[in-house]
Amino acid sequence: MIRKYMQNIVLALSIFVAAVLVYQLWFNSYFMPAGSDYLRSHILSPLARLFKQQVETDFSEDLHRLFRPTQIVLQTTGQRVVFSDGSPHYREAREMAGEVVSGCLSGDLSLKSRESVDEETYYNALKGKSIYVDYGKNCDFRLFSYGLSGREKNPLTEDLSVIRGYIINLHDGIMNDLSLYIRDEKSGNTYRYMLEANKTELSERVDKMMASQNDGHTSYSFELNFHKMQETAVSKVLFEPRVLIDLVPAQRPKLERVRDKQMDEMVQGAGSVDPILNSFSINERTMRRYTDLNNAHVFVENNATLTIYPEGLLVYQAVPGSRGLDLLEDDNRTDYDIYKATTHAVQFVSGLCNQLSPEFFNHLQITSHLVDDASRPGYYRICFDYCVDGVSVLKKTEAGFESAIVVEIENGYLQSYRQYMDAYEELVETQQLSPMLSAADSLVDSMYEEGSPLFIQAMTPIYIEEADGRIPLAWKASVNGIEAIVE
Amino acid sequence: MNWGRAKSILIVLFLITDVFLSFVLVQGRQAQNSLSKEAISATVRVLNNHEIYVTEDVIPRTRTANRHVVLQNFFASPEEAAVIMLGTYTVLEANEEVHAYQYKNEEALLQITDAGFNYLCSREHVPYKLEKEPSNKDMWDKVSSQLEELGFKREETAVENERWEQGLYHADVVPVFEDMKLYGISMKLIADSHGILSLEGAWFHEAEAEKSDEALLDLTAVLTAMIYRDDCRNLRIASIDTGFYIAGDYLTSRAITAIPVYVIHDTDDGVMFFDARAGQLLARR
Repeated sequence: MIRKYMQNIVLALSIFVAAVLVYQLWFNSYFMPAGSDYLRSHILSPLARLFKQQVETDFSEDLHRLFRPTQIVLQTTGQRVVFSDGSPHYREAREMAGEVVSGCLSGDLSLKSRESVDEETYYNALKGKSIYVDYGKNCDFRLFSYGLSGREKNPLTEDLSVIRGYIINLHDGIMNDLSLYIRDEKSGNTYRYMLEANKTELSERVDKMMASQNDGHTSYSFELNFHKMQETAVSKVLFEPRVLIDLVPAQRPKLERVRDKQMDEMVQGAGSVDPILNSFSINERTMRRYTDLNNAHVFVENNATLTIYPEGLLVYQAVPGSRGLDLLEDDNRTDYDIYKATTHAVQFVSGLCNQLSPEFFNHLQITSHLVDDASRPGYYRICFDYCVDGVSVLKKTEAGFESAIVVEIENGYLQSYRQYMDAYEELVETQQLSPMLSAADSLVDSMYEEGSPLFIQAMTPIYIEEADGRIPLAWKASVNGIEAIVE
Repeated sequence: MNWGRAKSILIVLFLITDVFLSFVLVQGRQAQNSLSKEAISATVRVLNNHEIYVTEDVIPRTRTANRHVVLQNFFASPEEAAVIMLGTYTVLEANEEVHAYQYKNEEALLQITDAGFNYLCSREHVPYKLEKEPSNKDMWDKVSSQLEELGFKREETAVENERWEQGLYHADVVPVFEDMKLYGISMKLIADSHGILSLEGAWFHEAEAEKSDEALLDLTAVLTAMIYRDDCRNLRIASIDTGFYIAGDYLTSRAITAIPVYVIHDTDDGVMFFDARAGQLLARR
């Protein structure tokens, strides 16, 4: 009995030892050269991916999420309602307008006619029953088209190269047609496209949306003649005709800064920074690492340095004179333009944010103009702001007012990447934004020079995070092509 | 069926298998942890053919594990460093913005900046008379015990470049981790017959090793790559060590990571440091 018992034990042990030895040999042999890492990367991960739901989105979807209208204005006779990002019906209004435009771009809605119109006709379209979608920044038309319809080229490509927004007019002309007005910001030409479309349903949807809203107190600058020099008095400031002037000070919720736990651990040095290193393709075999006296974690490669600061700032900087991370999958760098640069920037930001915090990505919006700059071909600086209900949150630093993410790309190489890893939450308390015209007066006080009126192309409310942690509201204006902040 | 007999046969078979597998595993591990003689001979032949002269006994056979060593700056917190080195002291300067600090007691002055530190004894110099100079070994024993009192542990220090100048002992003190030198960091030490007169430089301590699963480049690969370097013509290799290296740019940091290196000494007292992970030349003295 005991003998049998011992026999069983010895047999079991010898089988166990054999299994252990085989395991040791496999994971340190030619069959599995990198040991368990090989098993994980070449067998387990591919299997896991087969069963895992695909969470990565494509560029068209990402661009659609990141490049959003600043405001959508619905206009009917006697009523005007402005929807900004975060408003209850913003999404619905955006989808509604987007369906019309994407239908036109994809060819689903055919064009009845196409003609150039003058400015007066264009502004009159805003006064009729219309939907005005304003992105607040210029955008290369191919990008706009791709973001909306998934196509780069479309029936309007020949006419348009840079746009800022569009107007859908529901009762245009004698025939009460559905028409689309788009202005090419590069040439200054405005086009009206009459569409073959059933506008009844669209009109009903607009009416329904307007019925539940109160009339706003907004006027376009052209309606108030703020876009023209006055004959009887010196005009110190002029507004772009399409700027909406809101006479009533707005109330917005206060914000507080929060940080994702994983990001916080990374910043403090307790968590793994592998996701960040992998995103920047930093070679762990050749990089050097140290912590400076300010507790910033620094990773140095031959071509670039990656620094994670304790205040939650991530900075990647190519060494001057050398190229940074190569974002191009092929080597075709000819005609590197804003379309390619935006594609790469969006893909990179999306990839990095998905590793760190997908929730953070959902709050990002592109706030820089997406156009080619003839003065510096091949170089692009694209800003992504963290937005709460469509309102950007900028950080006030010694260098100025900084966006959440700033990407600099040159001919397909990532030259610089800065990201603040902070998020923000709304509080129950609210704060008041100063009236737009008061902010314009402040701009006049600080910037006006005799005989040269300020030209305000855009004005949007923003939050500013101060060094002491307060996050008050302010105005951001584009004045004579330069960005100005009025606190 | 006679299960008992079957089990006995299985036991014997498995035991034979276990012995065989153990043998293969041990052989494999031994081969993994050391370079083959053939590889070393071939490397020596290639080098000699390209006017780089080395003998087989100079090339160590044992492979080194890939480890980084993380070290903390001894002077990251100036007040703590002052307490360790001076005990009680008065503060002459404490400027956080420019990282400039000065502490003093009756015996010494300690200056700390972001470029390093300087420790100066207040007493008069008492140089050795020429005939009474002790041996380097004895002198090092004497000063290393004093270094321990100042907070620099004996087992973490080693000495290089010892020399005598006008009765004063000069040396470079370098940190050591598990009997391997950490190159790139040092303190310049001057001592007289009463002990340490001054210390100057940078110092890092509290080393912790972080192991990496990736193997280092074989030394033979690094040596073979030298044939493509013009500055290695007519080089005569005297010895080869392994160690850790920190570039001078990072000595102002709070914490640094020293990387594994192969240290090649030539017969002209020159030293070359090669990154053992990627093979590139990091520095040359």
